[in-house]
Amino acid sequence: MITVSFDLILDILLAVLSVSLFICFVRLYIGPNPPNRTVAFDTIAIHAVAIIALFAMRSDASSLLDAAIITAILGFVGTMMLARYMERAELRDWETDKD
Amino acid sequence: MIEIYLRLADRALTPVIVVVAIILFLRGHDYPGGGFIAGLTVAAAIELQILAQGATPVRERFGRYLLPLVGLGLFTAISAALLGMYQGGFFKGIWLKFSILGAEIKVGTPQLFDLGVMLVVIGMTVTYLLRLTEASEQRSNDVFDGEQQMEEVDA
Repeated sequence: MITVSFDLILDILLAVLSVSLFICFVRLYIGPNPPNRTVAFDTIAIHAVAIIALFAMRSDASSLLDAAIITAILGFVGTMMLARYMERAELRDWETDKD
Repeated sequence: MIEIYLRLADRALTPVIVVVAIILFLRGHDYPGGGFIAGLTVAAAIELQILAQGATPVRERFGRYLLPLVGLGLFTAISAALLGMYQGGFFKGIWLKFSILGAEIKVGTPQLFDLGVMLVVIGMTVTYLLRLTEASEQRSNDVFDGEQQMEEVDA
């Protein structure tokens, strides 16, 4: 019978989220146009919230949860600003059919 | 035309963000938080209003308070620092202890300084967010007018 502690589960979740966050950064780097990068930014913000919340549970630091809330709010507002910017931009500049 | 989703998000989220900012401001001295981050959070709430309603109503609502807010905040912060001279040094903290309903509340000059920083940050950040939004709206309106004129010329 294997006993799995709660901290071990949190560690595994943090590791999985780190890999996922790295993949999001790859998309942010190679993303061919601004909509891709915006979605990558939004996903990175959500990952940051999740990692901060897990870390707060892991280290019993409840004041980190405020940082999670603020990150969620600022990520939402930032995504809204990027979406508003793209709403006004010229869509045909982003069509990359060069290959 | 602003999306209804954004307007609903504005109406629901702005009070929440302001309450979070007040919480951050009130527990600033010993824990994460304080005047600067509370001011940035209030600025995020006002930025959400700018996104949802456009720059013009927000400018009408807050525009005349922004620069006086910066001055008032600077005055409050500097006077909080100067009040410490009374205690023996620049920026020395003076604490008053109240007990209301059994709970002990400590209020001192660090809170006053945080309040000043918060007012300065709100005034500055909202000023440049409004300016940036107005500049981009002006530019997109110019581009739109140009395209219309081009279409008229083509017709």
